[in-house]
Amino acid sequence: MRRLNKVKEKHWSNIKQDVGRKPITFAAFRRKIFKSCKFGIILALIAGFFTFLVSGFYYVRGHPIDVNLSGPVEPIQSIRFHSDGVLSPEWLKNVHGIQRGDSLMDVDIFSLKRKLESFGQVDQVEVQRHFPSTLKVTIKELEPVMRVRLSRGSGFQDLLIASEGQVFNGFDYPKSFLSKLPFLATDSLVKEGNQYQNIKEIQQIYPLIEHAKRNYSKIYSTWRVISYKNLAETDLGIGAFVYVRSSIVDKIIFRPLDYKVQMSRLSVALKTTIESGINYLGVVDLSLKNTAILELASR
Amino acid sequence: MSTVSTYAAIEIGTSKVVVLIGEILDGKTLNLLGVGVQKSKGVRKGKIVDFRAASHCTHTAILEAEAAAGVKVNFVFLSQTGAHLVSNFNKGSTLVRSSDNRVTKEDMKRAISDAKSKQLHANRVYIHYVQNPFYLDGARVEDPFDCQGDRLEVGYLSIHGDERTIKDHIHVINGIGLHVEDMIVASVASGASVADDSEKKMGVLVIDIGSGTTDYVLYRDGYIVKTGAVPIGGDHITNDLRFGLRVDHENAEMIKKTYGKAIIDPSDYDEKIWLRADPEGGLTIGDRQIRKRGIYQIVNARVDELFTIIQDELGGFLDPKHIGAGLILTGGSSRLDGIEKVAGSCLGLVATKTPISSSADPINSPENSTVVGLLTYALKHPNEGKTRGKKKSLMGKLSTILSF
Repeated sequence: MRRLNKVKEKHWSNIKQDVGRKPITFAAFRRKIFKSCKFGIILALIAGFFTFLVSGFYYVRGHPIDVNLSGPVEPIQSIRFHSDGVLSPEWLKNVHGIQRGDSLMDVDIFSLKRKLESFGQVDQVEVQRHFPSTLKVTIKELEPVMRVRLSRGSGFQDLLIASEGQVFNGFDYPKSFLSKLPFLATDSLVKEGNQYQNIKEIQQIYPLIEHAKRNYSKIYSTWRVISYKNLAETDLGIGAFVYVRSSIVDKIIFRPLDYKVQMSRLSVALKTTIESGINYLGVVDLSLKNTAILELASR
Repeated sequence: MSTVSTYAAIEIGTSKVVVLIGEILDGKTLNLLGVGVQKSKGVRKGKIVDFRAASHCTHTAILEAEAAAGVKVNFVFLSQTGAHLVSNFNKGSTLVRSSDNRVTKEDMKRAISDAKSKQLHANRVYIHYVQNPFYLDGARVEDPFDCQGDRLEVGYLSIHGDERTIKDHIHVINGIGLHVEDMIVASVASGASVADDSEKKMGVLVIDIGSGTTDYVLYRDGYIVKTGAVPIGGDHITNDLRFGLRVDHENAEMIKKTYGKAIIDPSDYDEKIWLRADPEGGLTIGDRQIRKRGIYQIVNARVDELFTIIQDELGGFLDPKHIGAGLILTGGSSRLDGIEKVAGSCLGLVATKTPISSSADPINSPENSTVVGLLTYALKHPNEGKTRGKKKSLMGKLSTILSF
C-alpha cells in the first residue's frame, strides 16, 4: 500500500495548480476583470433579490391587505338555535345584538361566542356560518342540581348550583322544576366581580344526589336542605359529613364515601320505620361503618 | 434532461497554439463551438523557454476561441509533447491465490499494482497508464475474473515526462484562471483523432509530424503498445533548406510549402526555380536559379532521418504482421508531397495521409489532429481524467454553477 501511495504521488494530477495567481498577460487580466465583474453583478442581483424580498415582507406587514375569501353573501335570513337546556330563541334574540340586514361576514362569530359564554347558565357555545344566509348557534347549558337562597333586603334571591359547583342565575326554568331542587345550606359563597366562585364541595355531594335521584327517587323527592361539614379537608374519612334534611327525617348524616351502601341502608331503615307506623325520624346516622343509628323524634 | 459540459482542448505547439472549444452532450455527442489559433512564441520542441511569451500567445488564443464559441470555458484538456516524454511497458504478475485456482478481483488488483509500482526518477511524473490485456498462464484473456489458472499477468504502458516541463505547461493555463482537468499526450490524442477502432484492432501506427516534434503511437489489438516523441519536425526541414540553399527563413518556409517533396521525383527534378530576395516582387540583383533536385534531396534526407529514428525507437514492435492497418501520417508536415512513400519504404508499412480538407476549416486540417483528438479522447474516456472525478469545495461548486 505504501508503495502504491508513492506511485500515486508521482502522477501529474498531484501537481499543485494555482489558478488564483496574479495575471501576467493582458488577456489573463482582461479575463479576470470580466470574471470579477460577472461575480459582482451576480452578487448584486442576489443582494437585490433578497432586499426586495425583505422590503416586500416589511411592506406587507405594515400594510395588511384585506382578502375577501367569503364569496358572495346575503343578509342573514335565519338564525338556527339549538340548546340542550331551557334557553329559547327569544333569549338569544335579546342577547346576540345582530342588526337587521347584517350579512354573515358582518357577524364576528368569535365575539358572539364569548358574549354568549359569559352568560352563567351557558356552558359551551358553537357559532357557525352556513352560507349564504344562515347563522347556526348551538348551546350546551349547565344542569342545576341544587339551589341556594340569598337574602336581598326584605326579600330573597334563589341562585342555582350545577354539578361542578358553578353558581348561576337561572333563566327560563319552570317553577315546578325549581321547586324540586333541594337547597344548599352553605356559608362559603364568595362573590367575584359579578359572579360567584364555584363551590368545590359540590363535586363530592353531587354523586349522592345523582345516585338518590336515579335509584331512590321517592326518598330524594323528600329532600329539602343539604349541608356539609369539613368536605374541603383532604382526608375525607375523618370528620367530613353531608347532612340532609328531608320532609320525613330531620337529619340524615352521610359520610362522603360509598354512597351506594349508605343509601341502601337508608332505604331499609325508612321502609322498616314506616312499616312500623313511624312517620317521622329525628336522626338517621349512616356515617358509621357497619351500622345505621336511628333516632326517633316527635313532631 | 441532457447534460452539457464545455471543454477547451489546448495544444501549445512549437509553431502555433491551438485552442478548440467543444461541448459534450450527455457524454455522447461532441459539438465543436470555436477555435483560436495563435503563432507560438517561447516554445521550442515542446518545452517552454520563455514563460511570458508562451503565456501571452496561449491566453490570446483562449480568448479568441471563447469569443468565437460565445461561451466561457470551464474545463481544459492539455496536450503534452516533446522529447521529454518516455513510454515504458511494465509487466505485473501474480500467482492466483484461491484454493480452486479461480482468479479473484484481488488477484487482478495485485497484478495491476505490481505493473504500476515501478519507481520513477525524482524529476519525472506519470501522465498516462494504459492498460493492456491480461494473460493467464500465457494465454490472452479479456476479463480473467473467475477463470481458472495459476499465473496472472498484465501489461501497463506508462507514459511519463519531465516534471518541470509539465509544471510550466500547467502554470501557463493557470495564469488565465483555468484549471487543467486532464492531460493527454499528443500522440495518444492524434491516434484517437485519426484512427478508428477497427484500425486500432488490426494494428496501426500513427505519426503526427509537427513543427518541432514528431509524435508517434502504435496500436496493436486495440491497445496502445508504444508511444513516443522525436525532436524533429517541419521546422528542421525549413532550417535545412535555409542553410542548404542559403536563403532566409521565410523563403525557406515558402520553398518547403510550394516546391518541397519528400521523394526525389525524377519527373521534374531538373526543373529550375528562382530564389528571390522578395518572393512577392520581381527579379532583383542577386536572385538566382536552382534545380528542384537540390530541394528534394535536402527534404528527403531529413524525412528519411526522421523515419529511421522512429524505426529504431519502435524496434521489435515494428512488425508489419501485427500492424495490418498500416501507417497513418498526420500533422502539418504530413502535407509534404511524397512523404507517405518515404515513410512506407522506410518502415515497411502501407502508409496513408489523413485526408486534407479542401475548405479552410481548421478542424479538418491535419495540423489540428492533436487538438481535435484531445476532445475525442475525452469523449471516449469520460472517467479517465485524473482531476475530473475529484471532489470540489463548496466555493468551487458555486463558481462552477455561476461560471466565474
